[in-house]
Amino acid sequence: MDKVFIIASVLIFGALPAFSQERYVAGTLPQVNVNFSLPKKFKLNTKLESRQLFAERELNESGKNRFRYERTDLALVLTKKASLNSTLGGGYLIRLEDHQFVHRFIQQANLVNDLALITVAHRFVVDETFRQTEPLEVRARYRLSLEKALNGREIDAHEMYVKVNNEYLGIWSSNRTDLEIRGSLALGYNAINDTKIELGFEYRVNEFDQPRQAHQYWATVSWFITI
Amino acid sequence: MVNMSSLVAFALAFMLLTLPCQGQKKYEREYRIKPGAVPPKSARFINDVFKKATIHWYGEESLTGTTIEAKLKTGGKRYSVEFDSSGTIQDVEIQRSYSQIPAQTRKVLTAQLSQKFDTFTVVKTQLQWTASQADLKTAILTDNLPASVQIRYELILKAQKNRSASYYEVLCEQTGAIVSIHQLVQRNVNNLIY
Repeated sequence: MDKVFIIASVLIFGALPAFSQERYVAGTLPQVNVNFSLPKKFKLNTKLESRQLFAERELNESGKNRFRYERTDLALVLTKKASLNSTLGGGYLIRLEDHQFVHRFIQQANLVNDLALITVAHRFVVDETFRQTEPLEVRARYRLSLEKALNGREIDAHEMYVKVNNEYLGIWSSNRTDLEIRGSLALGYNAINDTKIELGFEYRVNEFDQPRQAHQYWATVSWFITI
Repeated sequence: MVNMSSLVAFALAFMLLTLPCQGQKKYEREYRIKPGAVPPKSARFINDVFKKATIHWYGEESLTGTTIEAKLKTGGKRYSVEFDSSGTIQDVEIQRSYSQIPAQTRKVLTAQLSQKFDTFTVVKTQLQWTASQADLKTAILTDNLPASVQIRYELILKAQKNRSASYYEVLCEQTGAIVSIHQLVQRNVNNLIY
């Protein structure tokens, strides 16, 4: 499986020159998710995520391969089970970027179905982002996730699994309307006690309102802990 | 302005402090088995009875022992055949719709389930046959069930009790009398929600 990731890394980062006329960023996207079970079927999810860039190119500039820390997000989302397979939630995210704080309010709904061999999850999110120097930005997001055990039908303790995400984001503000599309593939390991680690790659494309789209390539590391 | 090193220190402390709070969980594992690693006795039975089907073999380990399961679909029916670790057959399960259970069985069963749960819906129904290997072979290959075959039904319910919803596995006799009810633990899907 290591070979798969090495080949995928080479393909992703090796493909950057092919986009030499495009705008792109490439880097790492590590995140830690800690989930607290609360009374009355409530759960609190705390997520710490940061972005580090290793390569980037702006329009009419040559590509730069250098390390640059970009931003850190801390999100708190409170969810409640609406039924056996669905949850409703809301939360708040604070982002530190360019020495400024960005604030975001989040409302979300999830539907997770365990089928015979795979698990299918749908996530619907609406969020509102507040920045000091820019108008309010509203996004509507839909994410489809598929998860499959690599050995057997169920993801047991000490077992690996594969997860595929595809997400679409509609973005609206008073001065622009945009679309972002995300796709990711991750290899996960389910340790004991509901701790999961996922390593993968994510591709994002946005700025469809511009003559040239912006591409993002991320190596992702996600750690999920449940308390 | 926030110092980067204090952010990293906060993140590390956050991760490390939360780890000791984790509890211990019962050991249970289900995994795929290659056909060549299946006990010869069980492989022989399956190959004799289901000649053209594609068989998926699984092993299940729990505190009570290891079982081997063959899953297949043939003639429009989904079969699940369970063996013990030596390859001796335990039972045969065939997926059914709830409406295919005899009306009298459903009537008795529904009356009991209505007493145990506030509301319930049946999400999966399996017909379960338990008998000797020879009788199970006859039962699968012909429509004549030998008298020695014990018939039971295994249902998965989505049910609500005391305002709390959960999945339950219910085993009942052919008469509809409940043999056992087990609450099923839902797996953690936080990585699909957030």
